[in-house]
Amino acid sequence: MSATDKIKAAIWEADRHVETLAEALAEWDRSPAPSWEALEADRGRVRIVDQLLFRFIKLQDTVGERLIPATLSILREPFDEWPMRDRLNRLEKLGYLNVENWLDWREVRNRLAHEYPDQPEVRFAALIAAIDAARSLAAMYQEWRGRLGAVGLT
Amino acid sequence: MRLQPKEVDAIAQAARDAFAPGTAVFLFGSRLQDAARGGDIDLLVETPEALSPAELVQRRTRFVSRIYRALDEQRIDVVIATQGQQDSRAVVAMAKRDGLKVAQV
Repeated sequence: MSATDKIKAAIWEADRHVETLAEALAEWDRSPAPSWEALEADRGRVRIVDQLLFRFIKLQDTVGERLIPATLSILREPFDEWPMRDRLNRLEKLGYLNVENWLDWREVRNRLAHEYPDQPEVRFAALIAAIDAARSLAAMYQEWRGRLGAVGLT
Repeated sequence: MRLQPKEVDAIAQAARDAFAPGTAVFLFGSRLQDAARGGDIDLLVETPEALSPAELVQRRTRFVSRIYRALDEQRIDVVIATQGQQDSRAVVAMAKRDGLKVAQV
């Protein structure tokens, strides 16, 4: 696959996730649960949250595993041997992402992937943090996409 | 203990960035066993004051993401408890019994 094909494939995939994520965020915003207990008692809301978190994870995976290498590749950066940290720092310099935010979202994601025996208030606070992170990740992706488009790279 | 000096330094720096003075960080779990290999880095963070749930989550994220920044992404499991307070979680009891202090803010 050429660098252009790779970026197109990454964007196609990320667009699918961000679209469903945006729908889930809009539904959540129409009627956010006020507590963990209220959420657990409402299967409809649980489904929205599941969808939202699933797409958050998938969008993050697509950006991390596909969009980051595809972007570096199309910008002709010699990134093959670089550890993730160096890739992130380079993309921050180029204006695509903020490393601190990205690593915060990684922590939020890794915590979602594990089930921790937290107290309900902490579980709920972690959920709200994950929803905020999903919103910020979606915004970052849209800017990234726009930036690639603006320089004719998509 | 199976942590390299640069890992201990990264944990200490991240703790200073994320938590108030008086906070202590203890290593527990498989990384205490010299004969074992790999495994998550299990950390107990004891804060001097109780944190609100939102603050706890925010500081925990900052702490771990600072470690990622220094060491690249790792499997890190952080439990936060308040000094001098009863805690019914089994993992906290175990961490308090076995934990080895690796950082003091």
